[in-house]
Amino acid sequence: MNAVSTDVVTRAGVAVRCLNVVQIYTTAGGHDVVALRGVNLDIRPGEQVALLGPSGSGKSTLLSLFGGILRPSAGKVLIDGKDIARIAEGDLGRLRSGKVASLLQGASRNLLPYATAEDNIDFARRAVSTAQRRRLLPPRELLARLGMGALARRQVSTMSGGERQRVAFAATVSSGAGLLLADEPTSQLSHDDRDAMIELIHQVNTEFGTTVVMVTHDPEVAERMPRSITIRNGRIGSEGRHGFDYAVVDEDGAVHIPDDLASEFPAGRLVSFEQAEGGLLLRPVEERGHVE
Amino acid sequence: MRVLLGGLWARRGLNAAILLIAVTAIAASVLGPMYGRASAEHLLDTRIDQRAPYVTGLSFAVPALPPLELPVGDPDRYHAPATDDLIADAATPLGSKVIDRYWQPGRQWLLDRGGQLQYGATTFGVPLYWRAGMCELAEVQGACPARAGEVLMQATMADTLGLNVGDDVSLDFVETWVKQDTELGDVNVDRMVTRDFTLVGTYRITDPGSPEWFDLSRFTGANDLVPPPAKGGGGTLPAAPALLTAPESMTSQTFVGGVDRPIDPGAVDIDAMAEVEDAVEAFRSGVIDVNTADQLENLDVATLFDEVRAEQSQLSQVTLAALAPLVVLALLLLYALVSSAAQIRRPYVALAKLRGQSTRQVLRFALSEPYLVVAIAVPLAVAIAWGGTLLIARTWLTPGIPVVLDRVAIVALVAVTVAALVSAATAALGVIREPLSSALASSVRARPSSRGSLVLRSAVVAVAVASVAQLLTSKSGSVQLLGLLAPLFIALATAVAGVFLLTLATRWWVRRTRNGGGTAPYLASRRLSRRQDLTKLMIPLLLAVSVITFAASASATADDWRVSRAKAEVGADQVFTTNASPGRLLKVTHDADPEGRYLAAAVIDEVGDDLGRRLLVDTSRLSAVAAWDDSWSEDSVRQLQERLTPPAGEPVTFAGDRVTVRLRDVKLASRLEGKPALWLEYSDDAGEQVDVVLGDLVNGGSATLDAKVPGCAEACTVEQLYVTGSASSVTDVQGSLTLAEVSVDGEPVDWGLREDGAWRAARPFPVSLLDPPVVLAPSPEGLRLKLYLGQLPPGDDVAPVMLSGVARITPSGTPEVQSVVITGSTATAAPEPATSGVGLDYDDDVVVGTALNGGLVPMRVVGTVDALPVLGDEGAMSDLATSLVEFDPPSGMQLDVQLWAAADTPASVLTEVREGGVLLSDRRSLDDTVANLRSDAFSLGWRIFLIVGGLTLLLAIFGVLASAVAQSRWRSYEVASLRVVGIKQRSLVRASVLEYVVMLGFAVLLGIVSAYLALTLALPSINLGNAAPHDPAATYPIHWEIVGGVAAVLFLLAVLIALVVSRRVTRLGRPSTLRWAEQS
Repeated sequence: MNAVSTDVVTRAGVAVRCLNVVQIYTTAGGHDVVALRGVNLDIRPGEQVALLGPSGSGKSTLLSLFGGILRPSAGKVLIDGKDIARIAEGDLGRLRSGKVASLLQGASRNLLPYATAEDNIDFARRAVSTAQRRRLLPPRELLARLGMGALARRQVSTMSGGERQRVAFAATVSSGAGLLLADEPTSQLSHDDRDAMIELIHQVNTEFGTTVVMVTHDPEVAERMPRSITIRNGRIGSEGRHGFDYAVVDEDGAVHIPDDLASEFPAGRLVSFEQAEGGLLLRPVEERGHVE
Repeated sequence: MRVLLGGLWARRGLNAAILLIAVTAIAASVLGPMYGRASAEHLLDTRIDQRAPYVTGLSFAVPALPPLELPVGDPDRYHAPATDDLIADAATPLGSKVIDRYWQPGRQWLLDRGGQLQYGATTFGVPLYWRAGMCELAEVQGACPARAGEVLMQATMADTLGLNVGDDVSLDFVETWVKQDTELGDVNVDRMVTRDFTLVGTYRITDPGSPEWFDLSRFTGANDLVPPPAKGGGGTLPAAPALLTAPESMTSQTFVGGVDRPIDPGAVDIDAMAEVEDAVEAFRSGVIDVNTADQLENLDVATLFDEVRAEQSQLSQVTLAALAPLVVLALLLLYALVSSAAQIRRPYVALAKLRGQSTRQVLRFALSEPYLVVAIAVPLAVAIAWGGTLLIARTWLTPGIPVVLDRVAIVALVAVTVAALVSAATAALGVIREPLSSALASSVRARPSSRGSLVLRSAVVAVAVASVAQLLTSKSGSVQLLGLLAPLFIALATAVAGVFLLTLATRWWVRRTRNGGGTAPYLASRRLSRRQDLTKLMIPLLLAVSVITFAASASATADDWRVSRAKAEVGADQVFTTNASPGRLLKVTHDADPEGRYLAAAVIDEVGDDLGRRLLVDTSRLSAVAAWDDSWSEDSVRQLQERLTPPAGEPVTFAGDRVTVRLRDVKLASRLEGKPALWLEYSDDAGEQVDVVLGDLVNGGSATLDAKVPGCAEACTVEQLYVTGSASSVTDVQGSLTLAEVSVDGEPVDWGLREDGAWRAARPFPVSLLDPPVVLAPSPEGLRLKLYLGQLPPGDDVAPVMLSGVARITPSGTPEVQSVVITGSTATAAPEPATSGVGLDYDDDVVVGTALNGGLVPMRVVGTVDALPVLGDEGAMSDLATSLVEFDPPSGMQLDVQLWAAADTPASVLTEVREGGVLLSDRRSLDDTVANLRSDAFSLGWRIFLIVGGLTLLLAIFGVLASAVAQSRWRSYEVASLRVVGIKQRSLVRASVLEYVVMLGFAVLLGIVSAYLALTLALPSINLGNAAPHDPAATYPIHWEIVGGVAAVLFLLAVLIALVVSRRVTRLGRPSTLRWAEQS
């Protein structure tokens, strides 16, 4: 894999901050569903973060908020210090063209299947200003640098799943955004393709300080990211850093029990907190007043 | 651009469908005006060609001898002026204008002298004509006339008359002069002068449109000139092409000099009409001094052009109304297909937004593809419209009619192209305006109808209701365009109501099938009740079914009316004008066609009103020969024939050379000392009526009268015996005489003189319809006649003196009261009561009719119909043979005697008629008349209506199929989902078929209902054609055979579409489809 040249992307990473973010959907039947229940999160410029969690936990919703696809029902989402709830629709477009690049789940959703790889990169760069575009590598050169030179003139519909995913990635990052949002970029890929994709993500981050936020179901993929955040029931449940998992105290003081201990703390179970050396001891209570 | 072309190719099927629809919409919009323009040119040419000769010409002229300055003196000393003098006289009032032609207009008659011409006593009105360079301008066979008395004859006319170079023809001129100092003072005296001319050649006009030439032949039929019959007693002479001659031949006082027209009618087109009118007016008022010039030839261009403009307007309206549904349907389908395409492109539009493209960029991306298709469609459509118009013009219109993309066509092109672009933009905007979060979702949530859509639908219904209300409260034909567009409005409103009704019906169906009734009906009803995109598929089909049903039924109604008009105009499949007397023709037709299958004699008088407007026909052959339209009467023509044809009485006949009548007891008196005589009227072997005087009546005990009876070698039929004074004098004869015995060639014959009721008084009666001048009393001694000419026996208010009376008797085999069939609009009157002591009395239902010779006759109405052959909606039809016996037309009476022939009449039968001495000319046929009527603007318009109706249907079927196929991708996901949850494929196929059959069947049903409403409410308000006076009224029956046929065929088609689409959907709808959908 070739290293990405400095002239592929020119911007530093973008910071992301969530303050008590609540997101409510209305279903087709008219029912409200709370997807996020007061999320607080800070992602520093140049960080690589994996969002983990079961289906329906709210991780993709969070990614949509970061990408300006949704606006929060309550709370604030600050992208590069700007509250997306207060940004006009036109400015949101500019945000998506310049600072934030979204890689949707499913490679084909990021590409025009009837166009070639280089045409897709051209299409992805349409919103980029002319001046900025001049500083970017031409599509064919970019693809060559990313090891996809042979795919440049091929129509997307003729490519394999892995090839499509890599071309989709290339198209997504081709605009030189400072924040890369990737929704399940490694799903449905072979191990080799998955590894190649993760390598690409790391390289973009390492070389240019691009902030990366990636949604994944795959713990193995998450482990290869410096920081992983697990979302449960619309809240940040835990966070892993450099191989260690931590519970996260939310604004209400609630703490999620780690998955491996969850069976010992079923819902409704009483617990007691006791001061212990160097921390707090969480003890299940067998019956009222009797500690186990 | 590569991305654009790639997308175009990736969705080539759908884009091809959009292209086809767009091409159809634009081509239809362009073809309409182009066809309208070509048809208008065709109408202009046709109407110019149809103009009668006496209203043609764009020339101005002055007579050399003004009519008020007649020569004075002794006619025998009168000599026509010399040509040079005439030319000088004619040139004077024209000032500096050079006279380039001279002619003598059609006052002179071309006569047959001594049987030289092929046709008997044929007479034409024919002008003499000279113009500078005429023999170079015309194609001349023979020599150019150079001396007085030489003429060229139009070639077809010479052929028809059987004339060759060197033959002589004679012309009669009327000359008028003033005779002075007579007992009455100065009086104008006419004299007929005959001059002979020699044919030195023939001519043809090869370039009628040349501005140098005025085509004298085209208005009399250059290629099929048939000598019209001679009609004595004045009237307009049949016109013939001019005889070309040298100026020296023109020595009559009717000599005229003139200058030719400055305008070429052959080069006149629709755009130039106003210019031509202006030029004519300028020529009339500026170039020629109107105070000194007489306008002898006058092409009334204003009237002609107004007529063309009116027809053009009608044609434009019909064409517009015909094409409007096609354009509307195409735009609807375009919207539907672009919507489908936009749905397919929805993820890509969302991707463009995700990549931060501006609204402008997204719009450009979303609209470039449909706009490119429309852009490709424009030149294609124009080419197709051009080719289509050219094809139609060559098929239907005058050869060589130009096809032009004129201003109206360009405006229509731009309007429909813009409409197509707006339609495409509207369809694409639905996707463009969708929020990004929703656009990125894989499922499409059904959206409620927009406010604009509701307003549009309400407007459609309101327009339909308003137009129907306007039609119902307006006079027929006064709201032509609205009436023509009403079916479209009604269909659109029905479609709006239909979608609503279908939704209601399917909701009810869902409730019924929810708890039982089978999986397939439940699935079908559930889908129909939820998916408006599916139910909207019924709109194009409903619209098309309505349009084609209306178009087919209305075209059939219009054509029925045309045929009815043609039958009312012509009378039979073939009609010939003859020179024979009615009696002669009757005899010849019976000889040539004894079974009465092919021929019938008829006499027509269209001049009068009510019962005076009459058709006398050999009714025994009416049903076999007459062109009868079933819409005219509830009774069949056979039933009417039976009522009209009198029972066959035993005729009184004889054969021999002399008839002798023995009289007894002749006791007559005359106050005016008239010399009464007894006459015999009979029909001879040839069928001609013959009147012979048997002898004068002298008072005495007995007398024998004897006369030669020519033409009775075989069998003559006695028609009348009558007593009258000397011809045309006052008759005054009273008294009695007895007809004792009749013998032929010395042998006594039985003429029933002693039988009760064998004879009766014959009309016309001199005083009134009911007061006979003779009373009959049969006895063993013979038939006693009591004569009251001049003095009727006492009664109420008896007229003291009778003039020109004739006392007639006739064998009673001929009914006294004739049967007559009249039209509903024909007024009848009962006879005045008898005034004399010998007056007759009839039933109350007897009315006063008009006989063959114009006399009054008691008639009984045996049938009332809407129209009659030849007469149309006013007049009466009765039996010719009956009328002939009693009402012999006087010698010289102008009669229109026709031979009617059935379509399948063998040529040998007609030959036999000709060999019988009957000249058959001026053939007209029902087919030609129908064809002529079918060439008018209305007919051309209705034909377009029908073709467009068919196209609309094809387009609708294509659109429904294309939309269904475009939807099949999403439908296959649903089918796959249902299969995953365990529903059997068979149930899914059945559900899909049921769904489409119900929806499309509903569309067919409502389309028929809509068409029925349009046919009932709108059609009677639409002007179906230019009706002439007395044309039968149009009837508006529903053509159920058409309606039923269309419904049956389309329902089968709906089932076929349902099967095809369902098969495709269920074939695509496999569980693996879901995985593919997820991946893509």
